[in-house]
Amino acid sequence: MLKTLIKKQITETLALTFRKGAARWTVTGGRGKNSGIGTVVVMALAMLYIAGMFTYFSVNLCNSMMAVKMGWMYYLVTSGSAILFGTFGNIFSTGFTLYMAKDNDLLLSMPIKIRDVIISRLFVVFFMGLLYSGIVSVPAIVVGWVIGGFSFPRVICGLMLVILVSLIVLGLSCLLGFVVAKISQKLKNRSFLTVLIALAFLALICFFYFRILNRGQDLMYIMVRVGEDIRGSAYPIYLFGRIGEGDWLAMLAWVAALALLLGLIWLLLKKTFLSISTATPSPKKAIYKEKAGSQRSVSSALLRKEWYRFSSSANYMLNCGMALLLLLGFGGYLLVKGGTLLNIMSALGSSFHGVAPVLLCALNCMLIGMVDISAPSVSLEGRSIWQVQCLPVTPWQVLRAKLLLHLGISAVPMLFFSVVLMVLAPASAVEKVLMLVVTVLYAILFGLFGLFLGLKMPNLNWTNEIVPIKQNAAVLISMFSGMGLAMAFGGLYFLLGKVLGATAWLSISALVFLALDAALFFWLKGPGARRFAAL
Amino acid sequence: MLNISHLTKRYGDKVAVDDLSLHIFPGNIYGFIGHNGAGKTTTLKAAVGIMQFDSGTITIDGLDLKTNPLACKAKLAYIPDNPDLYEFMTGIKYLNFIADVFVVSPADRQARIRELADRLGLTSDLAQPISAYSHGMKQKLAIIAAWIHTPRLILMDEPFVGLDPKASHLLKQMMREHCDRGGAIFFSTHVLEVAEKLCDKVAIIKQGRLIRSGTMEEVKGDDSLEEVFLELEDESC
Repeated sequence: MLKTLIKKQITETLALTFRKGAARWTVTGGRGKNSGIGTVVVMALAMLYIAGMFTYFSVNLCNSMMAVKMGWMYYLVTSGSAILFGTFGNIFSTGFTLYMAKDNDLLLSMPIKIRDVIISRLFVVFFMGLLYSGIVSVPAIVVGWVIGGFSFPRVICGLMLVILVSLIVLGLSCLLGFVVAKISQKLKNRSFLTVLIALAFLALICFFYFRILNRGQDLMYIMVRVGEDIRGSAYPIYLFGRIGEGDWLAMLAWVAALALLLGLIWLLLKKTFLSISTATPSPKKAIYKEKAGSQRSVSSALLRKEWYRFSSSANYMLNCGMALLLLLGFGGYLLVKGGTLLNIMSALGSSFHGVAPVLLCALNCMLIGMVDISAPSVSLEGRSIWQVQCLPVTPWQVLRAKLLLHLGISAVPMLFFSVVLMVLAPASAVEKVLMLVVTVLYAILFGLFGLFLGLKMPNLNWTNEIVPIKQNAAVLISMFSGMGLAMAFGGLYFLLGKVLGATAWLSISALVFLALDAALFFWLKGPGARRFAAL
Repeated sequence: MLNISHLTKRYGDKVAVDDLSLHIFPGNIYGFIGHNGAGKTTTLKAAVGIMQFDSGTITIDGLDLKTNPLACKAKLAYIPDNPDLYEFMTGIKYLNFIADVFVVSPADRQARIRELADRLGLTSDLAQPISAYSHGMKQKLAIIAAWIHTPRLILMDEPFVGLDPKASHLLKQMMREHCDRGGAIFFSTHVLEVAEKLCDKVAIIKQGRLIRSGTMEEVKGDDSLEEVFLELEDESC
């Protein structure tokens, strides 16, 4: 039975992630071919990209830590990063996969042991945790082998470290998923509250990070000091780092401790699974009071519908709107610490004329390009897409509402950060205005591009909203293109800037983005709208 | 009111609806009967403009659905077999959204919501999120949403599934009242007793082809609708 359930979980995850039968029928009448292969390629490229970044980070850190004979600290830092990355990536999907899966009722009504249902769900949680944490931990271990040297204990213990990290992620995901599910049962505005908790968690990390930096000491010196403290007062944590260095005893100790911890978590899950997964998620019945409403236009009604969709989902807000918080955060930081940036930009500007406005504009574009609210919006219609299709509204009106939500939510953080950059940038008035124009055109471009991707890669048959929001090629392509194009825009200036100058480069870029905006806009109004009607 | 002429819809090589013609007049409750996969839902979806078809024409009050989709959709309401509504909204927000799209004035919508929700016993649940609704409650909300803009034509796919006996009875009353006011209803059902008692006209479809249609008397004669349906099913095999 367990084997059958695990097979079902794997089939479901793969089918939904890789769009097997995603849209009901394509415009041409048949099911889309090769779409799964495309998604696999995109996912693989995205993972390679992230793994590449962590490899670069690992090489630098490993060289430094090995030089001061603190290899264990290297493994501790990279494993800690992998645990953070894996847990944060997995926490919301765990709650949905374990407790809020739509087939829970069906499975629980069948002669299947609850234990088997939980294990089959945990299998997927473990697999996803391994995927997220592995992006960090695998490159770190390989870098450790290459720089620190190969040996039998190091290889075996290194591999065990990857597995132990993913098991810790599994345990933390289960515990936090349990908390999220409990919150979901008890609170009314749980989506906003969940976002607030997640942001508080991130703010805490940033606070400690900046506190360390603000001590004005060398980072390596701090790490060595912290390492000595850990070794002296938190010996089990020191042992965890030792696993990467091939310490058999440390590994066995951690395997035993983790087995005990996971056993306790298992008991908690087994005891609470039935009551949480079958509970009605309605804390207190809201009382309906009749009141005279106001008449809204069709466009306004559609926009409100999109807003309700966005604000009802912590997953949607956190995964697709996180970059907006970065814009606000960086903007606020620069308001306080703008002098440092001004000095760096002035120094850069003296060696390469006009580089400051272009690079600052590219930074703004990169952040705004990471906002991908419009990309999953088509897929999020899900099985209720019949609703907008049979209403007396044009497909373009529906798509426009999705675009307006993307741009409306992005507007204030984008303008705030743009104004801060315009004030700080050592640039002429014309260059400052062009910085704003380029950023606005770029924001529109990625609102339109997200919709374009959403229409090209729709997935309407999901049973868990995590699928269109996170495990979706359209979202990944939109985010990485947004970052990549901004980097190209900034990077190419170093090649062409000496000939053109900042004003010309910003003007040309604005024209290019405007042309792309226009092309996507007309595609969405024509073929895109027809495609939406036929979904 | 609804004129379906030579409708054909294919899924790849499979013909789901084959040269189907039906005419539904004002005042008609028109039942649509057929086995699972016969093409009922496809026909209904094509008639409300959410499924493109390969050939044929569909007109609503003389307006062609393909060339005037918005004008046609403004005259109709549709309730699907499985009411997948916007679970992220509350019941009242959903009804206001529908009323906004169909340009129903605040006074009219307030009066209609009060009347319909009271009749169907949903008033106390309107402030609840739709995600907390049972299947029957969603079905009731879909019925209120369908009636809120007083459409001329209402199309329903298995509307009685999931409704309690009282709500089923109320829906039948509402269907009759709607047609008495000059509206029309086209609905699919597997409950032949309901169709026999409720419908003015009926059409039987098998493997995408219309095999019999007309007034209830014309279709069933002196037999029961169930006997005729089973007989026709056997004949075609």
